[in-house]
Amino acid sequence: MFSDELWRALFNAPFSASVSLVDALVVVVLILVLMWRAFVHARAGGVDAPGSERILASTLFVVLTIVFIARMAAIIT
Amino acid sequence: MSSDQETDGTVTPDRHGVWLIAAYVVALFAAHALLAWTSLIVGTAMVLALTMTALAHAARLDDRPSIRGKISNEAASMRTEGSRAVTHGRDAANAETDVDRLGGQISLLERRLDRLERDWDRIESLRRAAPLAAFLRCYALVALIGVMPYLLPLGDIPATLIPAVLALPGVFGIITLRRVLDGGVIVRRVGRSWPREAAFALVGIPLGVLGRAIGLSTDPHLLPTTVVATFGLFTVAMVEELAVRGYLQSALGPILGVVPAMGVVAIVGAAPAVADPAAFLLAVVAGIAFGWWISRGNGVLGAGLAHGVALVLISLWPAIAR
Repeated sequence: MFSDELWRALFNAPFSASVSLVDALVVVVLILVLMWRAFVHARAGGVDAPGSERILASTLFVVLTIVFIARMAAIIT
Repeated sequence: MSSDQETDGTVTPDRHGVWLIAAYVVALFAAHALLAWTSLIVGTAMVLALTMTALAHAARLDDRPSIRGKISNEAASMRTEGSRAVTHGRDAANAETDVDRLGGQISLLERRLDRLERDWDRIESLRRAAPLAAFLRCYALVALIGVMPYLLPLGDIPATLIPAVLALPGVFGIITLRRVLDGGVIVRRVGRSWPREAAFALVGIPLGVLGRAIGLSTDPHLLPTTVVATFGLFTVAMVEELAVRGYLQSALGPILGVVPAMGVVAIVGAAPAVADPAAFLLAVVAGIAFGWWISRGNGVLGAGLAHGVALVLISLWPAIAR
């Protein structure tokens, strides 16, 4: 199903596609936004920390998944 | 391993929780070995999958508000039913009819009472699982922090961007994490006594020197922005210590006991260095030293400073020595 090149790209190659200035800034801005949301939630909710933890962990997960998929796509294509 | 001890009125989870933690730690280890030795893509995918599982698991364990809501709704509707049954009872007593209907209502109420008891048992077991849910959520954060350098390799980023990439999210991360984690189980205080915490930073010097001695290299990409990179490395160290030592260790303490928690947290924190056995060993030793410091009732600040000093010595030595 996979060609040799694709197989090698998927399982052996490091992420060779370099991070551009725009990529890095977008990720930094996304991370700042999610931290701001978690911070505001924690401040509003007082000791309701689990809600903020959820925001922080799940949004960071979404951001990094998007980065991961984008880099994988860059390698495959 | 005292898995049934009582702390702060919270009964900790049973052995199931301990096995679950062991499985998650081993999986994180395997993912980092994959990241370093075979495939960044498979390793990163595995870390993301682990994170998703841990978050979903934590959400299931932390479902108390919805069950509590269900119980109070049920109780309210039972109260209405009850008063209706009392009215019917009066009618039945007066008219001596309707007895069958009353009996039906009573058996319905009994069934609902059984259901409430089952819900109550469930909420009790969830209360016991609260530290485990806290562990899982923080484990997810730690796994993500560990995988970030692979997704955004600093080496590819121009030196001028380092303040944006390291320092800005780092500073905001410290403020946010402190606020977010403060209300939970967790970071009771960042620092107790400033001079004491600052003195512990000296521990970072031997760690940094050891790091250079075992061949951990200077990062040439950080050197052009030494001052900002120093600041950035300290903020990154502090974020890691808040999450790993400040939070994870406190969440694991009630489940595993203080000393095993310290060991597990040192290993989890060192997972990103698993590719280089010497670096991994050094990271575990550093983790145990920081964990010990915090378990003695000190703040996260000392551990963060010592971590930062070690990172700066390892990453920026030629610029400092110049």
